[in-house]
Amino acid sequence: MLLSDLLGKPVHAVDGSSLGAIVDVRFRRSPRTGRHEGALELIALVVSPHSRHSMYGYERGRVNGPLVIAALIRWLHRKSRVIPWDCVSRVEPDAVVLGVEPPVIPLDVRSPIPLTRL
Amino acid sequence: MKKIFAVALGILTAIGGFVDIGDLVTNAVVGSKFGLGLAWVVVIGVAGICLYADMAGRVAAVSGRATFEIIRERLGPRTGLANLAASFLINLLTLTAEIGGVALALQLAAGVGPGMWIPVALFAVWVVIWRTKFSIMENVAGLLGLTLLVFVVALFLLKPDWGHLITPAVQPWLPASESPVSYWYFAVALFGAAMTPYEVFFFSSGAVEEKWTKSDLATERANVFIGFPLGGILSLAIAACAALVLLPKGIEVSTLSEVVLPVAQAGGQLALAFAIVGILAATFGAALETTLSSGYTLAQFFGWSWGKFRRPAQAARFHISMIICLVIGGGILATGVDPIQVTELSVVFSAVALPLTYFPILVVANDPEYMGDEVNGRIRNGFGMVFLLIIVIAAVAAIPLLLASGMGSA
Amino acid sequence: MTRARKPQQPLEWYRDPDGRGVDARLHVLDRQMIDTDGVPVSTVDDLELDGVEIGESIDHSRPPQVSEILVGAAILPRIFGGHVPRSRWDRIPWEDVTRLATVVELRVHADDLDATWVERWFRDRVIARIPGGRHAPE
Repeated sequence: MLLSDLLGKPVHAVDGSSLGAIVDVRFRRSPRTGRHEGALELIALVVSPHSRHSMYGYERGRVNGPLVIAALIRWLHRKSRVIPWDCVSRVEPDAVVLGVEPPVIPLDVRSPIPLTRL
Repeated sequence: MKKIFAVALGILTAIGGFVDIGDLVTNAVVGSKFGLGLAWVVVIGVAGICLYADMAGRVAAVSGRATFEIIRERLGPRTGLANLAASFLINLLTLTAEIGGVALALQLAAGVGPGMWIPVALFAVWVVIWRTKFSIMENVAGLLGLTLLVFVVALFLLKPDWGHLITPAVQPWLPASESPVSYWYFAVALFGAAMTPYEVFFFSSGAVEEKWTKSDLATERANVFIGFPLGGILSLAIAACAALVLLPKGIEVSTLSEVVLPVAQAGGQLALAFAIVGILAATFGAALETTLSSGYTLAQFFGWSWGKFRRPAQAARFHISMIICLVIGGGILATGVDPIQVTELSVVFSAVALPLTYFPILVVANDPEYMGDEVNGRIRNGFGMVFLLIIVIAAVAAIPLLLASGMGSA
Repeated sequence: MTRARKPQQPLEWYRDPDGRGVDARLHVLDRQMIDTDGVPVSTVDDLELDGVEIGESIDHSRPPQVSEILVGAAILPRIFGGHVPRSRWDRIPWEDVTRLATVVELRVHADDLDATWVERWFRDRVIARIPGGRHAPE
């Protein structure tokens, strides 16, 4: 499967509701072996309910200036979240379907992860 | 000692290389219609290009990435392609204007043409790009362009009434014969002529060509913040000369002859010769820069191998695309279109294209992944945002003003 | 076959996995690839992922991995939509990548890759025929 098959796809929760569209795909880079870069393992999806586009790194809390642009883009991506790959059940041609209820993990590293009742 | 020489060379090259056919024609036209009443636009335009060229240069020196690579990486393929299409076409228009400028300069020198000079100009530009080292090309064109200082000399030789000349600059007023629409149209045109996008593409790609690193930042800053403003003074001198000689007699600038008329009047044949050499060097240098810019933008967007520091065999698509651009530019001129009109159109469309180029630069200059510690400070960002606003206003107003004023003739 | 399940790691890990997080669109896609001599090869146009297929239930016993970088025609669906047939993909195996930074560094020479055939075609058919094309500028 291609990465572009995931980008822009809507994500459907277990009950069928839409959580937004996939804006980016997060990997974990394994340690290098000799002259080879480590493997990239898919660990999570970055999903935004408002936009299908990536926004230059501002929405992940790592680029801060200029202030006006950063604030504008942060507002545009205000409810973006990270959905662990473990929660995904299937990738259909027109949507990604989850198998379990995902935890709420805000994309912006400066927002705290809300505690959920067990 | 060697370092000082290098810095001085860089500054002189920046001065001589600042003026192109767009600056020559637009400043002369404005001077002949408004005197120095639009000088404030040149000041703002020069400040803007200094700010952004410095940012683009810093990004290139610190991250090793040239402008269009960054546009592609930050905007993604869809928006990036739209950006490329617009920037490339406008660059092509500017290229055509510069080649036309070379032909016009040769016509001034030889008394015949300009049509016959077009193939000569095309071939000469291509040969230099094909075979000459980047630094030699830059330095020769830039230093020869310094002969345009004859405009400053002419200004003094014309013994102006300084008060009368400077007053419109500090109190911009509208001559009764010109309308506000025309005034603002020329303001946008002059702004576009001062801040042409190809200068930023070229500057940042040149930084990568010459393999600048963090340690070159001081030199880069000197080139930009000393060289460019002095180049801006040259532009103002051209406008002032036109104001002194053309404005009182209501002479319209429609060919290069009117542009150099004040110089001939002030200093005779010798001064005229200097002016012609200067114009030839400036337009030829600008033709080289715009041609290379078209190669840079395409190659950087598509990820091709590029750079004059590589053998052409190692950057095949880069060189082929430049050859094709030269052929297209020559083809447009071969239709007999007036190069002066092409120039006037190119500066207005440059103003339209400015936000496409400058917004990504501002964004990347703030990104720690590319810039590490050298991200923009608050002050630079503040100025950057102010200029971005001015640029967007100019870009949006450009076409309506063009149409409403009938290219300034209303 | 492991079905979809609750996240196996602490939640903060998904935001910063051991400091080794790489976001495809932000860090990898559209980046320049250079070969072992520093010569630009292409942009990263798409990635092939192993371990996931469209329409099939996902097996979570092993995470999907990037197996290949796609270049060339692969850029078209990202601009215009649609799909490019598998046979037309120009690809570079992930094993050829030596470093992932602001550029993607490969450990092979550009000329040894199948994917760089377009540049070679232009070089051999056009540039080599023009005098001076093989020499460094002076």
